[in-house]
Amino acid sequence: MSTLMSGAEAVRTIAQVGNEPDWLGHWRLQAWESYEGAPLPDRVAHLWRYSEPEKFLIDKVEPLLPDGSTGQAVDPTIVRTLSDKFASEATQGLAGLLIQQDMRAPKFSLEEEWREAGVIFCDLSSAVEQYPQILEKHLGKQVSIEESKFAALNAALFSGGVFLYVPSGVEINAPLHAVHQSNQDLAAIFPRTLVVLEEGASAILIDEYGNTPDAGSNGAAPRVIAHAVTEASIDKNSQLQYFNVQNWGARTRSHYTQKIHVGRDAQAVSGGIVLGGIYNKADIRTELLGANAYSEMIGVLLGDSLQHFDNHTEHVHVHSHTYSDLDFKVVLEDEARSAYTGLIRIDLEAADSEAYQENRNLLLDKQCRAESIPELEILNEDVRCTHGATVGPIDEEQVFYLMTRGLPRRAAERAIVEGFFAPVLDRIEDKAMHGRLWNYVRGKLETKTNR
Amino acid sequence: MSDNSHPLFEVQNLKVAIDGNEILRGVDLTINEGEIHAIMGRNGSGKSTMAYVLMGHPHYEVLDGSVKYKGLDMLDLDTDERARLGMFLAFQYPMSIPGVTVAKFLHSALKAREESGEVAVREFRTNLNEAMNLLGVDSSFASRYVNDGFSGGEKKRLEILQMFMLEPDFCILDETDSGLDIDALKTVAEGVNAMRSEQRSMLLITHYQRVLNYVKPDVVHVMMDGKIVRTGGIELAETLEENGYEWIEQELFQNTEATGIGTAEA
Repeated sequence: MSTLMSGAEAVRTIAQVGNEPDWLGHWRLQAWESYEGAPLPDRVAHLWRYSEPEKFLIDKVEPLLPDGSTGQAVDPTIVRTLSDKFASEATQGLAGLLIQQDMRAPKFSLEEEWREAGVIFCDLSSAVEQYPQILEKHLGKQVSIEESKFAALNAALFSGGVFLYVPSGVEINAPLHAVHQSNQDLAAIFPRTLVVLEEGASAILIDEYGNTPDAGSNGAAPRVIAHAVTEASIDKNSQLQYFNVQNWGARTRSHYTQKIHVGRDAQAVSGGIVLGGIYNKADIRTELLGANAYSEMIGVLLGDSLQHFDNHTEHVHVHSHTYSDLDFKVVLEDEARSAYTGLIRIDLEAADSEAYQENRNLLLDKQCRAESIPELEILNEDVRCTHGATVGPIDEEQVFYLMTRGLPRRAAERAIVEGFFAPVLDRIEDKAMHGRLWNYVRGKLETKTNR
Repeated sequence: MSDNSHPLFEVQNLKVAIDGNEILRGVDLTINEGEIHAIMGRNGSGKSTMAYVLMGHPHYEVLDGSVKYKGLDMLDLDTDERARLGMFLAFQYPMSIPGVTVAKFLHSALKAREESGEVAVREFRTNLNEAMNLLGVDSSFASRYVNDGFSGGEKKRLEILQMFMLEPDFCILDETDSGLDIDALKTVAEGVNAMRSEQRSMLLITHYQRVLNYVKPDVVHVMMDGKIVRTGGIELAETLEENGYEWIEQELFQNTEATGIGTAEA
């Protein structure tokens, strides 16, 4: 923590600057105490077997505080000029867009049609001011203070953030896109996203983390510690597609917690596009709470240099007649490391459920390492459940085959990598979304083919 | 072979080992522009090694000799460079590339040949459809993943389709006839014949004479134990069909005994 300000003071400042209601200020203080009071996670504990908790402490960096700027609804054409990334057709076909830098001064837009239908899409700080009752009901309910030491840290210090609320029966037919950027060197940042879908609602959200590559000192990537949280509650018969794009810069350490609660007859498709950061840990969990609840979890991870990734997923079948399917593909190069642990838990009451899990790892160099560990806790025998895991090098015969057609080695490897990811991304039916997510992956592949 | 013929492809004294075992033990072969040569031989005679090593497969170690194509030394070049210079190998066992569609694959292969790195999509599509029509391939082929779940016949057709699209000057066809029923064999042979031209040369590797009923070679070689032991015209293939390979072995054995020399020349 900064020498200038204690954590508790920081929390009070955030609550004050944001003009937050008492319950939230109180909750933040509680969260801070919980963070400070909790010991560092034990490395023996299974979730911390692969990463060092010390790496995520923020005592050597400055936690970013709000500067009093509040969310600003703007015309989409203005938003477009904010960033090169959005200067092109990238904004076309979006229902809404939200951009914020360093958790400050969020700019957001939402198509008229959806605003009139009662959809809310803005930063959390604005939402707290304008819709305190909805926030009080939903904030911190999926990812609570008790979740973990670092989830508590996010609760204490988040500002800005993303709030998506879709009222009953409203089906948004185009994607919404949120961008969290951090450009300040030696900073800690706390992005938080809350999604609430009421009964029969539907939405597609891309939630993107990144920073300008040269925003740090001397044109290097900024040194950032990011503690991010996403929580989503989707009610009966609703449909959510949530894609988290982890595109942090080369010197960001990121800890991420995601939880989705899926109600009866509801469907959640959640995806992770994991590309950035230097030291990364993510805990991702979807709970199936009602009959016919459905979850599809997909992930593609492309790691290189000295990147470290530790991903843990959980599919928790609480109710009977529930369905989960996970497909997570990892490609590593150079000296990158990935550890994947995937839990399927089927509760005693969750009869007639189906759960599938597949994690495949492709290694392009001898120095990279991947581990894959499926974990099953099946308490009911009346279920169907399969899992598969592989770790292996690229097939040299495939490379040779492509090279005999004139592709240079790197292009051949790239084709194989794209082919490896394709079945995962091809699960996404929405064409525009499919193309968008591919663009992130290709963006990283591009830099590699050319080097 | 007429006097004004130009050698397109020349192999001299090629010796190749894999894992320390010498598989090719001094192969000489000259193929002129426009000629089709067949190499016949039993399984294990070194035919497929020949195909792989000519394309630069990294597992094979060249111990001696040279491979020249268009006057350039191929052994110094990587596989992809040889391919971009116009060499092509139709595989006996083509690899599947899951997640990569036939169309995307062919488009990338063509783009790799262009300095600009670009190939107009519309023109590419037209050419691809034309080639698929010619080979009697269903149009759904283009959007399937390369060789993924393909039948044996489909894989061989895809090899020929690639040959059509890439228009190589020198094609090596490794056992392209194996595993094909008679109809598939005819289609594939028609494709190969359609590719025949005065500038383009081919090397057919096979252990059955069957395919040579459909694709007529100018020259037939017999390979045994890593060497070319007989060279002749189509009649050589016909003799092999009738008498098998044993008579050659016997002749070679007699020659060896008579001359006392350890090697036999055809």
